[in-house]
Amino acid sequence: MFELSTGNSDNNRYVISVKGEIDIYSAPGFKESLYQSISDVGQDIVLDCSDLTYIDSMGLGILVGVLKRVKEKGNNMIIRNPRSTVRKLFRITGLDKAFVIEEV
Amino acid sequence: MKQTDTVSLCIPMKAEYVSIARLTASGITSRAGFDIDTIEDIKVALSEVLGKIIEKKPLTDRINIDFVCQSDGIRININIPDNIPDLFDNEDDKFALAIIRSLMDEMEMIKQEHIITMVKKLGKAV
Repeated sequence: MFELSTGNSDNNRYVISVKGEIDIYSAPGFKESLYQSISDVGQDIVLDCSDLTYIDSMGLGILVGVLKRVKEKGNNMIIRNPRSTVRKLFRITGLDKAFVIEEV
Repeated sequence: MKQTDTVSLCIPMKAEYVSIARLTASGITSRAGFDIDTIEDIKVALSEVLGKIIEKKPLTDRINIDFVCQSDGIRININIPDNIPDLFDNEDDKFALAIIRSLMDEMEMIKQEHIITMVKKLGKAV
């Protein structure tokens, strides 16, 4: 399962933290929560993945959908501190070129 | 002659049991001598296949997985229900296929036998 916490601000960017596992079981809830979280946000979004222990292709697909929506508003989405296993999946799928990935 | 040990797992065709398959894979691959990064890779690849099978809403209610531990690695055979012609036929499936092909040394769908077989060799981390 996963937990999503929102509301932190960092250099005028909206920070969302995700914790746990995103797989075929948790993905529908993750999608709903994430879309709800960004619906009224008009600034860049940072998805803090420090505590994201697992994500699959379905989860990555959700992130791509969110990225498209955020870019439609003229903003960007940053993936912060992904673990090596998560980062590897971004690399394999080429999504490391679509997203800004930052380590802080 | 190689010595092989086979562990079989049968899970309900439900998304909530994919994590059980991941846990099982973790235990078996650890026992087989894989390092932690490779264990994660195998878990991800297995999870992708199971996820795609469940997504296709097959008529059968269970998935069978055989973990065949060999002296030089592991072979994972997953039964595909008869009514699924192709697991990776949609545009959305390309991420899953890319992930599986990258993380495993071999991946083959044997349609006549309704099996997906994946191989990971010991000592070949991605």
